[in-house]
Amino acid sequence: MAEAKMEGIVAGWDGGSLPYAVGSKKLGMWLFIISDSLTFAALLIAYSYVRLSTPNWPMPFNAGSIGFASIMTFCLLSSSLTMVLAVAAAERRDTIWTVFWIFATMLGGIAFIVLHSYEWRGLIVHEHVKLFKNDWGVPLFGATFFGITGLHMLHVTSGVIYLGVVAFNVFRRRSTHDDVEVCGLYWHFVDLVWMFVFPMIYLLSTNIGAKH
Amino acid sequence: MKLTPEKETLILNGVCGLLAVIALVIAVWAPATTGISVDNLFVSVLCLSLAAVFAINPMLTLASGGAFKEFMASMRTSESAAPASSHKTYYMIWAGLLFLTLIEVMLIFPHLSTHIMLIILIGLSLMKSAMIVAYFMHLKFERISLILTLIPIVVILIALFGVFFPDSLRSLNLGVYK
Repeated sequence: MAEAKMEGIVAGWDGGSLPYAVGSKKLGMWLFIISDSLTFAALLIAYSYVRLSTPNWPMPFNAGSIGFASIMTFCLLSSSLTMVLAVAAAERRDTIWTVFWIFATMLGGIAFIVLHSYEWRGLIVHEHVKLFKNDWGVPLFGATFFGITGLHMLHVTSGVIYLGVVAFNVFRRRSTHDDVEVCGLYWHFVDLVWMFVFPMIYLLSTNIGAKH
Repeated sequence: MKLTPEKETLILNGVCGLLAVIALVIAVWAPATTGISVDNLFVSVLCLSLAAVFAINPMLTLASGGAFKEFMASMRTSESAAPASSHKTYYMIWAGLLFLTLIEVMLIFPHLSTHIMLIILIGLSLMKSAMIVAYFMHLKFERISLILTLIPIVVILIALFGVFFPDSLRSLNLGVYK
């Protein structure tokens, strides 16, 4: 019969096995990542809509800000690299290296949070940008900037805590390599969102080389 | 009339195929009659994604009948070949991501219009995300059924969000905001 010839793609849907062959924790994390990326997509598309339709959108990011944000991007990308090395170390059951690479990832995340908080402080204290009001006449700037980057920072912070818990459990040999992999998926998702947030919020609103 | 498994498969594939063709016609109709514009772009992308999703079932049935033997063989080898990338791949992907970020930052200097810059930035960011999802999150080496379950959701729903996007350009051109 035709059904009997279907291998590879449709194998495993008849019951008694895992159709996606990834286990429930990983599938659950993937589904969460899909739903969360839709949340960020909605926010970013709404932001792009407002950004494009407002001719006098503030362009407050000078070369220093962009340099800062580039360093933040570098921190997050490097932390993704160390995370993937942690997963590789977990696959070969190397506890010490796994914990080391997870700590390196946490360090990248913490560096990101520190730099980003510094940027927030600069905008709130020195440029007087509040959530619904600022000096430049476009109140939505504060709302979109703090809303989107704030939600992202919340994900980074919870990710760092999650990484810490997993590192501790790996050290105590209570977690398996599966847990490290699932944690890695979340951390890469956080990095992925920043790949969109950074260009759309920072690079679209720079005043480098513009005539004043 | 008794509903045998063969008849059921035929009806299912027939309905899916019909819906796929309808979605394809809608995707092609507007740009073909009124030209390609930003308005048409999002509806077309949406309908193309829907057509692709509806086409999956008939394609799979054809595949089981041996219609795509060579394609299936190449899919199966990529499934079983590389369960884990060597470290070299990870460093290359990391370097590629940094390089694409550098290009994005360099795009500030030509002083493109916001509209064009947004499109290029989204394109580059999509490339970066594809690299992260495929290699760092390992999705390239998972079962094809997982890939087909996850990716179409995101594509279709983001196309749905994007349907309203041309209105922003319309507001800009109408001079609604000073």
